[in-house]
Amino acid sequence: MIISLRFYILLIAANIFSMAAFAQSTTINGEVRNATTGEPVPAVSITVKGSGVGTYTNDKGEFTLSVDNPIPFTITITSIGYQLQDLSVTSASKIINVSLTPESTLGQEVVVAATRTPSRILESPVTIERISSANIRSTAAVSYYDMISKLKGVDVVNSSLTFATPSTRGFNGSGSVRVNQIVDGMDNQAPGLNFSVGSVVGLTELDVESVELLAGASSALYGPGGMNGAIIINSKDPFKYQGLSFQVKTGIMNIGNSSRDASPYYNWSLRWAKKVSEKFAFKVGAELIQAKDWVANDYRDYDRLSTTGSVKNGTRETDPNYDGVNVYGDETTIDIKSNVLVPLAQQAPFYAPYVNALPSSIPVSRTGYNEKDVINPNTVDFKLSGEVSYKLTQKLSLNAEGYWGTGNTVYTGSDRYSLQNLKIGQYKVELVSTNWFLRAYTTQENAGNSYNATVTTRYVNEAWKPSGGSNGWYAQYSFAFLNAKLSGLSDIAAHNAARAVADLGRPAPGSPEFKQLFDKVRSIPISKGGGLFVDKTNLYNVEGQYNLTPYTEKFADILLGANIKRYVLNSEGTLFADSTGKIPINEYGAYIQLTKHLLNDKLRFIASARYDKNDNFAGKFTPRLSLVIRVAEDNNIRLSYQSAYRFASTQQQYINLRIGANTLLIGGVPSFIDFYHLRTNPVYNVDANLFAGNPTINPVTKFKAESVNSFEVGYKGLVAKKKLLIDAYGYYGIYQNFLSRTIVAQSVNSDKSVFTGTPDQIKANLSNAALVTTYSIPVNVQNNVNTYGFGISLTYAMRHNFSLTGTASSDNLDKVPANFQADFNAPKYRAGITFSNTGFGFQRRYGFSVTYRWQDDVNFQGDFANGLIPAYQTVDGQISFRFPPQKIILKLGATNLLNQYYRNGFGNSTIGGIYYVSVGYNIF
Amino acid sequence: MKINILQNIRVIKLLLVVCSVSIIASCNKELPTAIPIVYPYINNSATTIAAAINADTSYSFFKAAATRVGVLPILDDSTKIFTVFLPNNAAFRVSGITSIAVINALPITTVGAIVQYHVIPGQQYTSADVPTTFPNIQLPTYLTIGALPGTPLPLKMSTFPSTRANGFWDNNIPVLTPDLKFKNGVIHLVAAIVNPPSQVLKSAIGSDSNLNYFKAAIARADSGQTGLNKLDSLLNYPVTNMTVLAPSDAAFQTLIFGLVFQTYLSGRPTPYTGADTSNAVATANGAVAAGPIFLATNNVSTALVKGIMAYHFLASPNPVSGAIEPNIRVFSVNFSTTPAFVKTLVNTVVAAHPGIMTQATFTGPFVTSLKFTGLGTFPPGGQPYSGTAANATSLDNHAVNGVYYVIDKVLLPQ
Repeated sequence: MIISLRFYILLIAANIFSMAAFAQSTTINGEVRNATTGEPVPAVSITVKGSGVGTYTNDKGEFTLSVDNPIPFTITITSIGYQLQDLSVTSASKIINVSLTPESTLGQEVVVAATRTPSRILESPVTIERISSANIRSTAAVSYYDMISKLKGVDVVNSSLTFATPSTRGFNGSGSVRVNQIVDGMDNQAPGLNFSVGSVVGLTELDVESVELLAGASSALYGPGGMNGAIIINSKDPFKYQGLSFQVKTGIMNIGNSSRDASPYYNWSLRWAKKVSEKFAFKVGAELIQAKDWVANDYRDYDRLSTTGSVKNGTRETDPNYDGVNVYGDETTIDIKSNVLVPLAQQAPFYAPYVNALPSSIPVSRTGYNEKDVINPNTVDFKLSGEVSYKLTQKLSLNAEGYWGTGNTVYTGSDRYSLQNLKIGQYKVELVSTNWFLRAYTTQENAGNSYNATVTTRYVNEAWKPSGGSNGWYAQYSFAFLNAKLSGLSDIAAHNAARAVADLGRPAPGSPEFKQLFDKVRSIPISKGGGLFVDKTNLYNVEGQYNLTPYTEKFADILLGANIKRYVLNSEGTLFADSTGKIPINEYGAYIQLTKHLLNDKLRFIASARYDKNDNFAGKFTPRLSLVIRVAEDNNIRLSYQSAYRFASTQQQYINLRIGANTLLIGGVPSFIDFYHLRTNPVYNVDANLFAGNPTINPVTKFKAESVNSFEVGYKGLVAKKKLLIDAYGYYGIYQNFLSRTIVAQSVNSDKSVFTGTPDQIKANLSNAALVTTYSIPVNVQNNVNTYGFGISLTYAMRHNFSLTGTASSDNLDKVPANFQADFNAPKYRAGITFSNTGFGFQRRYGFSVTYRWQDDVNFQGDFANGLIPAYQTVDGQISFRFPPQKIILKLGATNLLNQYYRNGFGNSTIGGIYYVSVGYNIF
Repeated sequence: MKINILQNIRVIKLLLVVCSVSIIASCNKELPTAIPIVYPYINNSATTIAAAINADTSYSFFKAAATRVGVLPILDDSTKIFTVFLPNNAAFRVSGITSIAVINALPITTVGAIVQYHVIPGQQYTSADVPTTFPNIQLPTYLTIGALPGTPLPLKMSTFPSTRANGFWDNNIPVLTPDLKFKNGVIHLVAAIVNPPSQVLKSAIGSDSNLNYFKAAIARADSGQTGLNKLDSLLNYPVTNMTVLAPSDAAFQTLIFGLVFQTYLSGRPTPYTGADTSNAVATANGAVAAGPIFLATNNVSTALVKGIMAYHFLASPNPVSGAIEPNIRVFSVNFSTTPAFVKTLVNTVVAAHPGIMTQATFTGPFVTSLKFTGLGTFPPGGQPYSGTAANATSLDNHAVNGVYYVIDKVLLPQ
């Protein structure tokens, strides 16, 4: 209802503006075709030289332009991939036929993200990568979002089929919070869940004009958060890209998957844009993805309570305290020795010596359920978007835009989360002029029926049979265990016999009984003993930018901007500490950028600075200095000092959530310290000292924003007769006050003696909620964390449109303190090679691409689990055929062509091959 | 266009090369899977206990018994662990079973109980695992005697291994060869059959013709008491551990004679005449002649009898509550060779009471003399523990809920 109302208002506004009109005198008509193939070329820019007045060709390659200028005048015809052409118009009545000659696009692209003003990619002052709509057309990836992960220096973590998180230069994780993702000027980080929703909600594939990726520190222009890059995605202007487009992708996946049968993959998308008049245009888009998700099926045993969690040997049959990585419900553990058997022996003293002779602690976990049994396998992703654009004057337009998405997906945070009916809407109104813009937008988040798989499954176990009580699961287990021992069984055999007794009648995975129980538990909010998290957090942002260059160009190009951001946390006490009411957080920021052209533009010096302040953090100033040296035409060396910082995410500030194995995940604002008495009843670090019996107090210091300073040098240039594009960079980054989490333990009864005894006893106490509360608290890492790396890519444009690209990159941690959990998660090396052709053979109707990618192993660390991700390689490929008269393109593609299952995040889904056929109509 | 395609052939070849190289190179390792924990057998041996019993002809009696009652296959199960106190053929003979034919002639329940009583299930106790602490360690055997009320647990007949510097015993039976380790547990060769008790102390004492006064004394001490405060109920309560020093009838008669004799004289003016003395003897003889019923008369007080009886039940603090309870089952071999004090039920009233002084004398692994000395003397007034010690005349009378000794003197707590 809210959505439809918003659209309604926007439409009314559009109608009012459309009543204004301005006078025109000459109207010209024309048509643009490809000189080689004779096909019409859409979205070609036609501008009247010297006036700035212009239009675009429609999907048939036709254009109509009304101008005040008297005949004759000159029009400039430009389109990426074609040679620029000037034409003199001498007659208004004659149809203008333009024939554009294709040329290599190598290095010719224009990017905006690097400086917030358009510049050639070759002259960018910082490392930038760009994906164009042409690249998207010819990719083998099933979604444009997946293409980001193929760029050099980029790592991606796939929580599930539709949940991909790209990042650069390390510190990536599932749902990385250190990369700014900006879609049409809107930050698309979910304000409550904190992950960027680009792959779930956002632009539909057919509406993407470009994706620009800034590697490394980039908050000088885009605000707090961009510690490890910024991804700027721009949609297609409805004035420029017109007509109806659609694409139907049908594929098959989960082939040869040990955990799931082969299943279809569907991706349908649609875009319709119409230029109603020279002043008014609109577009609508929709995309639906449906599939059975990949399965997270790492059933290895996980040692959760060690100082840094790690995989250990064990299976359900061989470890009574088994806690499978992707098995949930088995995080519930108690020491049956101290909790059941010893009290029993006190009642029956004749068994006391026998019980005492059993191991000093006997931790036993409850029987869990595999992820595939608790997480809805149906991935659905439905996106809807629309924009109306009205030109108030030739230089000023008013745009209103909305993106709304809903779906089911799986996300890895502190636990695995099944996001069910997640709904996120982003709505924007903006005034855009040539030199300035004013923009207001909001992000409206609703977690729908999302639930925490771990917590829900643990509660399902409790709902079926409570752990505690005189006839509870553990009592039954312990009696059966002792019984089995008294029949002579060895410990492990007795454990298995005991489990069979305690689990008698346990709802079988997939049974109606299990489903009923599970559905009941997952619909109860976490705060009331279920697994549901309610999250209706919203974000409001107003920002503006002014380019003062026309007034200051004699001195320098100057750009100014500012924004106000307001988060309103609303989880009804299920995620945040907001049970008593919504929590607002305000953030303010402003930036300035000066560009100075020196020595006849051989040197370009750019200085940027940004200041931000958050309610819970001190103000933070971030500068950026860069220098572009043009050593020759199309050959530039870039040097930069960049900085970035990040205020803790809303979750790091205010989360209050019980997760995994009894740990309470809390935020870092001071009110938590008082509420949980973290200083008056001291908390101890859960580390090697604790297990050695020398617990150290964690002082719970006030947390600060984290920051990074990065130095970079790069080169980008066209050589070998402009056929070889080289891009290389090297960087060194210094992270300060790195925001991380640490586990601390607090005695429930202010009794430090619970942290004494054997390591097994301490471990048992830690998992005994009656004795010890464990918290995961946000902390600033005291030591600086340094990183360095490099990357290089070579693109060679061969004859007949063939293109070969090779990339290699490396990211490294420098001088890491021992036992430090950095969550760096970047492989030391990764490399890729792509061989492609966007048009060859008969009328250049054939296309193909094949991409090979390899990455080194990664010692993956995250809130959910830590472990080694082995090196892996993938091959993606596609072949396509175009039917130009019908504007149809047929594509046969595969990602992970060899169907070699791999994971790129510890505890995440195992990814196999997807094989698809796609039919596209009118794809620009 | 033809030319164009021909020109492309080289490129297509290159494409094919790139593809095939990629495909060959792109073999990911199998994803790691869970690794089961391997539990080694408890001992580094390929032989099960059953196999060892089968193989050694000197175990043929036990083998026959275990086979007859179906226990041998259980001892062959390598998913299980056992501690077996194994009587070899010589041990059977020591216990009076001279041939397999004798075993086969016994009722099967008797044989079953004997075999199962020698087996501790689920754990391996080597000689080093058995503590030297007084008196011994109580462990369940394979012999089930009921169910633990309110639980699904069985009630097992307990056995009481112990070690000292001079030996290793199961109950009072010495282990001759300890620690024969096998795949699924350990065998200790014992000197004789460790017989499972079959009746509670009340029944055992009840059928002992030498303890009529003791029974009468129990009855007198219990007058006015209820429930487990009654010593009689305690003796009948199956799940406890008691050590009862039961003075023989003669011991009681000696005490009664002395008491009555002295009581008679104390009513006479001194100096005593010869008539006084002969009358005292006659009265005392009369009291003795009255038999155990004397203990029910007003000639003795309930408090006196109760106090003396409490002094004949060994006790120790409950490990959890600290309360003094009759909770130890002390076999003769568990007593110290040097004088050692053991608490009694008197300590439930007089916490600081030093208890009974005990001393065992060993010949080899066997106790040949066991003495108990009470604090009080008769006639009263002697130095503490200065009286003549009571000798145990019948040792290690084992019952389901304890062990009793027949002693030749009544011990006095004060």
